[in-house]
Amino acid sequence: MANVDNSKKNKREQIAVNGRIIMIAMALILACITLRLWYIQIVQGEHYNQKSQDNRIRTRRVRALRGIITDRNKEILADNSLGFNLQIIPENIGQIEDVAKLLAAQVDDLKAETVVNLYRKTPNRAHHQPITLKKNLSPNELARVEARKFELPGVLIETEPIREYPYDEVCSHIIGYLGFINDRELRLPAYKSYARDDLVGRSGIEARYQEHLRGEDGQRQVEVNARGRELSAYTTIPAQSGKNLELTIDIDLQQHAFDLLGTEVGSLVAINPNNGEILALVSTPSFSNNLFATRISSKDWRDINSDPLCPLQNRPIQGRYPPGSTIKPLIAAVALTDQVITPQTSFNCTGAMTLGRSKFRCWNRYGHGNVDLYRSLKESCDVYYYNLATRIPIDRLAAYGAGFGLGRLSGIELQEEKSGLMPSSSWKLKNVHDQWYTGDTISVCIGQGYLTTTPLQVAAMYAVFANKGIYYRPHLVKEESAQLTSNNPQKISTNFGGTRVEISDHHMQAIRKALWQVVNDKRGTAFKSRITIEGWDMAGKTGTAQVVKQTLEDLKGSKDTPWRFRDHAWFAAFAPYNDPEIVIAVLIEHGGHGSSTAAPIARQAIEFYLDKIKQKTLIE
Amino acid sequence: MSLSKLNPHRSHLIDTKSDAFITSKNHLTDLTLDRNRLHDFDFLTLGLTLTLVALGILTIYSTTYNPEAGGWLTAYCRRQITWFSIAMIAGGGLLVFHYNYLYQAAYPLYGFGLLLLLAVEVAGSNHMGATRWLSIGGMNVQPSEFAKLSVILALARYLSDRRLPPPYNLKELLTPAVIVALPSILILKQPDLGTAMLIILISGVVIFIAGITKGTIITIALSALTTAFAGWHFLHDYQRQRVLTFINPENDPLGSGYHIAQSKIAIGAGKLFGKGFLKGTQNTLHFLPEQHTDFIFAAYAEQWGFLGTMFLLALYFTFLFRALHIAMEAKDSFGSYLASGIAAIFFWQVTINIGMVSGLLPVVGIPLPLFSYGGTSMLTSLVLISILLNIHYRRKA
Repeated sequence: MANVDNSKKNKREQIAVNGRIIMIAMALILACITLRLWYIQIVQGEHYNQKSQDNRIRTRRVRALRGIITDRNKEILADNSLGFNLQIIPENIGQIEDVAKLLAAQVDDLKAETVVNLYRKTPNRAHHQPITLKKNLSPNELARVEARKFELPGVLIETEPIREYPYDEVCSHIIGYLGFINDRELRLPAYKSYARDDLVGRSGIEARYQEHLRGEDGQRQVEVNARGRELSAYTTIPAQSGKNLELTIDIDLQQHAFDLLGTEVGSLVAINPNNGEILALVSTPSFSNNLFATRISSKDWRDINSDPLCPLQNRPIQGRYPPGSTIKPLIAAVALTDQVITPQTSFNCTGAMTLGRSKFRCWNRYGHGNVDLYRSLKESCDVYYYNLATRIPIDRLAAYGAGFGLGRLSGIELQEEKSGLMPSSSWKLKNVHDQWYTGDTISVCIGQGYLTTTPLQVAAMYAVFANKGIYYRPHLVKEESAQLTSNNPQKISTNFGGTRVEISDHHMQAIRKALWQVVNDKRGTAFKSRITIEGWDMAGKTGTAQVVKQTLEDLKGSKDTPWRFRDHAWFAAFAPYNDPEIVIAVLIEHGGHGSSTAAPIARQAIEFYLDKIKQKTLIE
Repeated sequence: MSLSKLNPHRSHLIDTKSDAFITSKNHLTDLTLDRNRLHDFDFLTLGLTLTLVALGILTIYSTTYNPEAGGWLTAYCRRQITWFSIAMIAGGGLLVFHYNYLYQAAYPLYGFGLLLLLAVEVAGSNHMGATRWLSIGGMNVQPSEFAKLSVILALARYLSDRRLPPPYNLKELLTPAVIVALPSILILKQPDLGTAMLIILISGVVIFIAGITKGTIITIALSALTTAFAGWHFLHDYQRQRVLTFINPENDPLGSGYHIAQSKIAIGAGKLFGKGFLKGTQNTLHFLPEQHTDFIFAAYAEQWGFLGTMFLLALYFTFLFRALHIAMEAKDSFGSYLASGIAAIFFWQVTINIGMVSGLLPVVGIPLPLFSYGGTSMLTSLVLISILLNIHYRRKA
């Protein structure tokens, strides 16, 4: 009993003593918790408060609409439509594997692994930012995803304007296309206002007027819950749409010209000779720039890039061709101005001319006999121009050529433009390391040799003959529209003012008259393509540019010549002769003779355009 | 007997062989709510309990209400109130019976608890990689909850039966160690590291209060450390992840670290005065995970600030000190051990839960007793408090 009592007493003592120890321990732990809460709520309170604000406020970008591009008659060439993008917000995704599998089942060409990889690749700090999985969902895909939205927390459908080009390949070279900004560009100061996933113009007007067209993105601050659902919007900075742009193009003419060129490889340039406005700028084969508006598939890209005909090339401004006989009016004009000849001066053509040990042939191996200025152009006699070549120094030609826009960039609002080459003696010395020979001038005077031009340059040159002596800078953007861009950071010149070339009026008249005869004289090379409508008569010049040095035998039957060795066919013209409204330059690659392939196309385009403006004035 | 002197009318009922062994049925059901004995009832503990439950329901409301849905109580609130009512009736009913029934039932209940745990092992339902639930007649029960009570019952009985005077050394503590180890191992196998640890911690307090030698304390502390290092090897991946995340939560802000990060933001954003009732953004926008259950403290802290959390801590710790006081005042050593075990259950749950949500301890799924939403937890808590009140009420008889 005593033992029990002892134990009992002992137990009570232990409970009393140890209970107090436990109480002290509890008090210490209470102190720890209190300190912890004091630290979090008082010391760090503001920090966490800020975090809680950030937690629920998300800044979402409101994309600006890109400016609309129209033709001269306000026909829309580049527009915006609504695209639906599939996005996920990583922080709101539960099981990424499940979500990925489900999404892959709803959306075409979306692999579950791709989604999982994208998710895994995203650093934690970016987990509240949406990741775009697929752009521009089809209506079917959209419906399927929307139907399963409740099983897909963290999956968003973002609407985004997408670029649309109603005329697609008809003017894709002019309008250009958009592409995603890349990481390298994002680091450049010029792109500091851009963000990942932004589309920027990659070619054409879209690229040149990128800053003008892009507008300013807005912002929307929204309160979201942990599942990323937007509960309410706080502040909204509306997006500023980009500025619109009106082009000088006449889309009907462009379309017609595009159809006329059909399957030919080549270009057509139409200019208003009275102000340099480009009415049409066609390049074939073409490509669909709508393909680029959404993420272009690698197959489409491969197809476009591996096409041997280079559809991406903008031939009227990038193709550098020997101008062939289309250069002859310029040579004649220089000869007249430098008083080497008068319009009546004749040279005898025997089918060839010998200079030193070289023999230069005329295209007509039987010879033209006595040829004056008019016949030289009308029948495109080469020997006449060989004679001029021996009398005019190349540097004089180069100086005049520059006045007509040869050998330099025209300044058209397309950054892809190439300048072509108007050679000079100093150029040859510098680049070929050799002196200039008369033989070189002979080649230049029939539009071969070192001389290369773009179809645009040829058109601009003929515009000078059309308007009797003023060179206007060819341009694509209407002057009123272009003035609005004058203060934009891309510094695009809006000075379209003409400069008078140093050709006297009566010399100009003589050249024009000769060009009229080319088309309207029975012996003219383009007589078959004359316009018979009263008052619409056309003046122009054919050209056949050699691709490879031809032997006499080749001339017999060019039908047997492989396509890629055939001559390029040129035709440059203006109409109506008395008061020209339009200048056209047509180049058909490997088209053979200018008179047979290029001239008919030019004629039909001119007739189409003159008819159109006639209809228009009749309505007004 | 000194105790019989205090209550001469019932002295004949006291068994002198064991200070806790009472056989008379008359005595066991003696709570006749005698007006004269009303002052023996612990109104402080009852008051603290009711205040905590009320605050808990208020916070559950704030975390689950939906301004669009309308209605003056959310479904969660209603269910919590229902469970509270059931628990009050159960607890009140238990008060009628002398706690010595528990002394008698201690070992059978312990055995029953082990059987339930074994049943989980065999037929439990799997939920999120762990088998913790047992489905009985459509109701899901978590035997590990019951194990907490059954272990302290068995411990209290064993320690009070023990004739040997304390403090005990390691060898003498072998049987208590087995009592604790059996259910702990079964729970660890589920696997539920949190509850297993909790049972060991609770038992530790009871054994400590009973008295152990200094040498034993040092030995246990050293072996605990060794076990911790060795145990790392046997932890499940997600358990290791939890420990790692706890050490560096920023490492994984979207996995388990997300919970801690968001919970700390919520607590901190409350600052001194709190954002006000229903004004917490962390919880209304669902940034807080499990905000009405395990993380309810964070939701409360965001709304009521430091002042609010201090008030809540004051309530809890007053309650805990009161419970220890009851243990020290109990009539017999069984009551003392049982009461201290109950105090330990509450103490560890409150400490671990608040430590967890405030980023002091790793995330283990332990609710805040009386406060968090959940029927099992509410029922267990109120039954434990009822036992506490029972021990207090009968401290003299």
